[in-house]
Amino acid sequence: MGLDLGELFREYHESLVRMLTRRTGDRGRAEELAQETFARAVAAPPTNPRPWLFAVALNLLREEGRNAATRERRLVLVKDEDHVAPYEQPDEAYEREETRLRVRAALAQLSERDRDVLLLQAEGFDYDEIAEATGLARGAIGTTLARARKRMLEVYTQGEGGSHVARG
Amino acid sequence: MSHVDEGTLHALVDNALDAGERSAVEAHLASCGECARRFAEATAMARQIVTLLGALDEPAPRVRIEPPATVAPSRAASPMVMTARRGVFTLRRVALAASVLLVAGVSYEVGRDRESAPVLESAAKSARLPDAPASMRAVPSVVDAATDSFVAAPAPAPTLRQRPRGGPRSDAEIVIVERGDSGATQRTPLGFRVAVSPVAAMPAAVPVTGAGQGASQSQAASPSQPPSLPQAQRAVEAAERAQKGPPPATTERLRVPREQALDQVVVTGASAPAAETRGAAASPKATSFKAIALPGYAMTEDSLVAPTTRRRYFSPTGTALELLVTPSTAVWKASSGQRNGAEFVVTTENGRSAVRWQARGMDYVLEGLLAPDSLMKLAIKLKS
Repeated sequence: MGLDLGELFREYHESLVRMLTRRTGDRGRAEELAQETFARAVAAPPTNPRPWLFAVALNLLREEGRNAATRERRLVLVKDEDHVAPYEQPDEAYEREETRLRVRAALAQLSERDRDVLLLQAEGFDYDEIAEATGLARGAIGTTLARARKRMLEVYTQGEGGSHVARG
Repeated sequence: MSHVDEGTLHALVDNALDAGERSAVEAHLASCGECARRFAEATAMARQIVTLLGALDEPAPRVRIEPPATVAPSRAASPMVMTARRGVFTLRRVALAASVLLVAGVSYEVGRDRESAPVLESAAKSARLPDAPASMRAVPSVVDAATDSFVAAPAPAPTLRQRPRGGPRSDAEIVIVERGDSGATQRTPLGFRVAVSPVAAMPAAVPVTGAGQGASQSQAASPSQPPSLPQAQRAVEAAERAQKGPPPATTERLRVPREQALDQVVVTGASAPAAETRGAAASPKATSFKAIALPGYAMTEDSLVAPTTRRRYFSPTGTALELLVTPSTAVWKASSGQRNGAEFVVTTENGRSAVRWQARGMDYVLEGLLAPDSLMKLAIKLKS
């Protein structure tokens, strides 16, 4: 009995891409990773798909970061006159980008493990699933999240020019 | 009683405590102001994080993935099957997603076109060439899948043009059939059964006759005024109603304006190829669709490309291959280096009425043609 790839895709693809986009800051790359992850699910159908998919994706990400060779292959678009990005007021766009950068910076301050746990929780993973996807002990997840949330908010708030933040 | 530690507080926020633990903690919170305050803080933090992380989300694709709506009772779902034997691939019963593309606002026809436009390369060999991509050609044949008969190359190159069948949607999947030398067959279902519908603008349905373009252009929705989704839905229904009964002389099509981008691949649904093969492909405006980048294939985008453009591919060896092609002024090239032994060359030319694509693997070359406004996905899984 094979894996119902379609079902898997429907259920988890969007969430996986979202998590990876948050993690990498690059939706295109997130989608590539997601595709690779699903391809692997085809090759080795998991019994517990959600934690498996996310664990594989995070591993792929780690490996990819280390492997410079993956960046050798190139797709070159010579010209594309078709695409039009959705319009945004310049100041809106600026603000949105500012916030985005600050959040990314705050996220980057976390340890990789803390970051992964945070992102998985944000995708609705329960503690058991987080434990399975990350290999951490279930009992440690609460503490990890507490630490990650606190740290991230600290860094994020400090990024706001710092003038209104009481340091302590 | 000692105070509640941070980890436990957050676990309570996340509803991760078992019943016993939870009631113990809640009992403590009821009587401990400090812990209650810390719990409120933890709750607020968790909420803030959710908001902040949301700021990292990039806009959803304009096209949303959702499962196929209904299954066609009238026509048996006919999977598109690719058979491999000694490196020669056969595509059987080209089956493409009329229903899906109706919803997505892209039209296409299914057909087998004997007078196909020239392909990029002629198929020459049937032997496997390990060192260079062999010039195998995928040959679609309209053969009853049940007969399982093997069709040898070469034959006219496939022109994959898809016509919306209207009426009940069909559901199908792409299946790879690999036949070893002993004649044993392995069938591997592969492919996403997804449908695509636009979340944003979608043009109104534009009836198009076999003859061509005139009517459609005058009725095409102007890009600056996106029709609403309910409008589009009505258009789909109108198209479906128009499609019931004997083979229609006209084909309802939904046109996607040039600036509409489709991020995801769409092919599911099957309909038997139509008898007519020509006509509707006459120089329509090209729909822009996206090339799909293979993981393990990095990409560079030159400065002309809008940053929100997406491209994804699957590695063609051992994994699914997805290909969406952009017809128009885009010229795409991708190469993999030696890791997967595959090369992707996608060429489209402005003003032409067809898009030529070629996907090569270690020992196969797939070539095809797409009419503009068409969308195709090919899923290939090879034994590694």
